[in-house]
Amino acid sequence: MSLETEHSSYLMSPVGVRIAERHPIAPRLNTLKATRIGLLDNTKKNADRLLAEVARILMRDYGVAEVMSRRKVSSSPATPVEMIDELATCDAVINAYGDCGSCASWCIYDGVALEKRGIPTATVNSDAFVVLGQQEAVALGLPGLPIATVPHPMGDVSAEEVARRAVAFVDQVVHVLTTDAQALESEYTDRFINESDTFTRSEMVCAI
Amino acid sequence: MRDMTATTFEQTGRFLAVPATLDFDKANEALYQQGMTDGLPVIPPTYERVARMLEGARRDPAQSLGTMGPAYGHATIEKIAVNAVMAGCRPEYMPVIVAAVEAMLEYEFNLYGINATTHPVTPMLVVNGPAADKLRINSGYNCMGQGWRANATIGRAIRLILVNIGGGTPGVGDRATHGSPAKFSFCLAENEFASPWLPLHVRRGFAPEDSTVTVHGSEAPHEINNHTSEEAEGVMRTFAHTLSTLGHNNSYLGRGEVAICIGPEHAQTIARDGLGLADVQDYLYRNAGNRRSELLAITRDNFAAMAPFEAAEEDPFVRLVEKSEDYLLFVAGGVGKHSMAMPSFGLTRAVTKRIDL
Repeated sequence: MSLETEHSSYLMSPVGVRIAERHPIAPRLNTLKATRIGLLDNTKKNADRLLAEVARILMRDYGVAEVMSRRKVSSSPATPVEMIDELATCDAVINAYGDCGSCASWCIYDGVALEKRGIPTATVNSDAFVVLGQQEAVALGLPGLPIATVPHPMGDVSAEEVARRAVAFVDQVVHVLTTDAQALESEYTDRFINESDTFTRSEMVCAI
Repeated sequence: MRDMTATTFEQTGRFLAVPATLDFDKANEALYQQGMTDGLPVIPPTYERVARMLEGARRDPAQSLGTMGPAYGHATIEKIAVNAVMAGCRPEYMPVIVAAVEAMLEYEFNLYGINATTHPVTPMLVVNGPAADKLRINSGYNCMGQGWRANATIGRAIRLILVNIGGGTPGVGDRATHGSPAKFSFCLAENEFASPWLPLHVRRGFAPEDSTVTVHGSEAPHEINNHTSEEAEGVMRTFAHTLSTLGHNNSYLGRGEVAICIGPEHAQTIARDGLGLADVQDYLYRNAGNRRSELLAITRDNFAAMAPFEAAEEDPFVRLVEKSEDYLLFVAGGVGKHSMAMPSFGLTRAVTKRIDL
């Protein structure tokens, strides 16, 4: 019996075949001291404030020497290659942030592009979108992409609240930029997908 | 647990673990439980039905047109056919669906964003040329509504493709806050017969005898009622006023494209005054928008309001798009004094592809 006649006793699958080559994340830094950090602002509301505040703390408390700020034209689509090239001259990048469907997807896309270039990156999603973000990372071949999270929503909070969140957030940035890459990969692989029940399923979607 | 030593992963097969001999109800239940439908019953995709559907495509079933975000599934001709079967399409619709997928995969369409976004966007398909008549794609009465197999099932196939190949599962890969009824299906043809102007595909560089499909990352349509104007100005003013609201993406971003489906009667009123579509585009460009003060009253972070302005006006008028050509205009509908407005996702450009009939 041929493969097709054998299989024709089953319904065909409408689901697209997904093939992703797995890539490692970039090597991490030993220290933030005397480093130059790129700040990628994807234009989402308050991303500029969060990045500025985090940069201030990193320079004050962690000895970061210099920051380089770049702002996308808009959160979607991808960051142009020229801007990625510029950011790739830094020792590490903070990429903020994905707090909606389309911008989370493109934020991850940018983070993956930087990691593949060998630049350790703190890719930031709001906690409501991090499951989508990690699914994206899996689809793009980096299931262990470290994704730092900020509370959702970020768009409607005051500058003072953003500053407070930055103080609480900075530890995650330090962690994902300076932890051993292998340890970091195993820590983050499937981490949010496994926790997905907490946000996507319980309140926001009625089960089939 | 993911196998971290594998170089590739996330393979999915050609066949489901669902026997083709299951009766219609049980097969539907199995597909529904796996999140592979739009919630309505589907035609079970048996091997024989998919083979018949593929005859309509006349393309290599294994050929991939590219990957569709956010899941990056490969849009092979065969997978497209499976979804077309489920949607209830006839095999002769396949070339339209294939062309629409090709259009959606162009970078400027931003399918990744459109499939995943919180915005209630869906691809609107506008078919031009001989394909519209040949496949009986409605361009007249109720062309955006129910009742025509081609409109209903081609649009539905596109949605199932976005769900199953693109990973647009609601609340997972498709994060639309509400979505919209237009996400079930949104496909129509231009009413070239009733239009006083050149058809959309000819204006976009194709030959009149070409058949094309144009995809636009669209909101659900919003009515534009004007029952009384005797002159073009009144009709166009109603178009502009309907679009001049603070709450849609083009207002927020100050760019992208905005589509208007001009009803044939409105088209006649405008054309009677000697105006072409370029004049309508120009009118809309100059008259549809918001005052900067109104945009800034919402937030400091309105992108449109932050744009630099040449004129040192005290309260500049902020347009919805960057240039007049960003108004995507076409004629469709039956008798009646209505048109339809479709603001877009904003970060997307409409794409037109030839249909290989």
